[in-house]
Amino acid sequence: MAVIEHVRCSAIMHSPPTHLYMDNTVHEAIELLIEHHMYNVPVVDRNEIFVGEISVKRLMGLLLPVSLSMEKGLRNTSFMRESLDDIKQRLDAVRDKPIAPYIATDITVVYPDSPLIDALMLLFHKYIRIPVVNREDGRLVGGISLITLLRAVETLD
Amino acid sequence: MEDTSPVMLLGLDPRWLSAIIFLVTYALLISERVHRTVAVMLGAGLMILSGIITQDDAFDGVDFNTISLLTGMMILVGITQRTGIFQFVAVWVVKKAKADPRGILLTLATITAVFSAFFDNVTTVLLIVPVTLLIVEKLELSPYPFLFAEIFASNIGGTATLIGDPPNIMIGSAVGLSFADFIVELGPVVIVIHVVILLLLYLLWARQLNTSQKARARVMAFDERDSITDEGLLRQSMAVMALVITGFIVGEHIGLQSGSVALGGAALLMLLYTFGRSGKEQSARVQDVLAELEWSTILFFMCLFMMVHGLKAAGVLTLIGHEMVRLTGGDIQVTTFATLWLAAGASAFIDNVPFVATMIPVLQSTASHLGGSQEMTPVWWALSLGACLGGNGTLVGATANIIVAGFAERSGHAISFVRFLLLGIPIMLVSVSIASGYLYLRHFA
Repeated sequence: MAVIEHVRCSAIMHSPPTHLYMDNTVHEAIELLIEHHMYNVPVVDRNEIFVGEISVKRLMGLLLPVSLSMEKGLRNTSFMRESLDDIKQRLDAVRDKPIAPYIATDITVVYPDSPLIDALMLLFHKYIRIPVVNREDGRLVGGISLITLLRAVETLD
Repeated sequence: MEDTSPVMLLGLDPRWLSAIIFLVTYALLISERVHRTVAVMLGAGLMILSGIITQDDAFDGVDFNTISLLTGMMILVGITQRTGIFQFVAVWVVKKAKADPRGILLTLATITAVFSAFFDNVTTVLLIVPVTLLIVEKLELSPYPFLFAEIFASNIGGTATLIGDPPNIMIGSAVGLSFADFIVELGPVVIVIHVVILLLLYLLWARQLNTSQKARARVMAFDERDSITDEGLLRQSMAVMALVITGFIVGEHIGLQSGSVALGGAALLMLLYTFGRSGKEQSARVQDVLAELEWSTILFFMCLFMMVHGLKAAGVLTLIGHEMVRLTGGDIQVTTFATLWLAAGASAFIDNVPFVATMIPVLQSTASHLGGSQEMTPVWWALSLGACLGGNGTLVGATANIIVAGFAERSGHAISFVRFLLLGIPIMLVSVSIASGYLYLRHFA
């Protein structure tokens, strides 16, 4: 009988992953997102320990009035009138602030020795990019995205 | 024939046992360590399992008129809110006030009171507060005066009608007081209280409410007409709401209870909401509306009724009633004012729903000592006024308060318990004092 190879996350993860530090500013986060065309970026502390992610959705929230971006906020907003100046004003107010308060910390991670299927299911149901962290010390060691997966599959040919 | 009489466990006196179950459940409710629905489910279950009441007794104890009224109104409000009418009115009154912060304080609080009276105060604040936060953000003002005013207005406005606040639904259903009775009896005093409280808040905050012309122009640029998402549904919702309120008023003369009217209205509006659509779309819309029902609240009420019925069946509430008659000397005036202030004090710190659910049978048991059910009428109004107005005393006094506090915190303007208390208690005392004077003039002068 043929033995099916049990693939671990470490086999396909890209490393080192692009990331931000907690004390980076909102402006630096925006620059990185634009430069790498990313939708979410892992964030680490200065010991490289994974703390969460900064996402386009989080940054988008900073550009909207609080009453729209907060949980259970206003949904029916057609009556509003917003100008680009209004948006710029809100961005200017946070541009030089650290990203720490805007980090999403409830992020599911995988470990290098986790079965690949765990990462695939997370990609399918929840995330665009899965952080891979060291099981022992929580250091960010890699990332898995659809692109990572497709590249790995393509190389089989 | 099957024997359904209660069998006591461990030979314990049912009065003690039921009182212990009730007090432990109450302690769980106050501690908030266990979700309130789970707490009363446990309490009701223990009343049955311990043999204090049978399952049949428990079901008999549920006031299905209250449950129907709550459910029907939830459906009506759930569909109506999809039309954007709440946002429309909020923006409209703000523009009528020329986006002047002082005018906005008064108008938003007033529409909160009116919506709270005719829909319910929890839905009202859920829909009005986000608009308020947006407007004050545009005006570059602190949201606290506006949020506090809306909390007070929601509890005061909800006092005015049968459907404004759950205690009124329970009192009306248990005692047979109609929608018109509530409007006639409580409407005038609620208007007086609302005006006095607004005046006090205005005097307190008017000087701080200044903004620039530029900020006001931002708000004046809003177009309220764009907030209406479905004009057809809005017309249908308003027509059905008018029918339901008419039904509440005339129903008492034709033997139609408020629960049937509300459920009938809900069925009609759901029919209009789904009519002419494909089977799949109808199914999706019905599921969508039903998914938004507060099932945990409905279950909470049902189990609460069962638990209180256990206490009643064991004779505990009659004992409390006798003690109450002894303390008040069987005097209806003393009982009225004692009920008013006790209800206000208790409702400031604990959920007024279980309090009122317990007080109703207690007071009913005292009727024969106080001159009969007709003579009891001022006591019921006192219970309603106390339970609803007491909610303004503290931040945890009413569900609407907790919801507004949640919005405030998420928007970065948390309201502390003490900060609210310092204003809430005086507001409550003024409101209940006005209610005392009103009850005295109307029933005892």
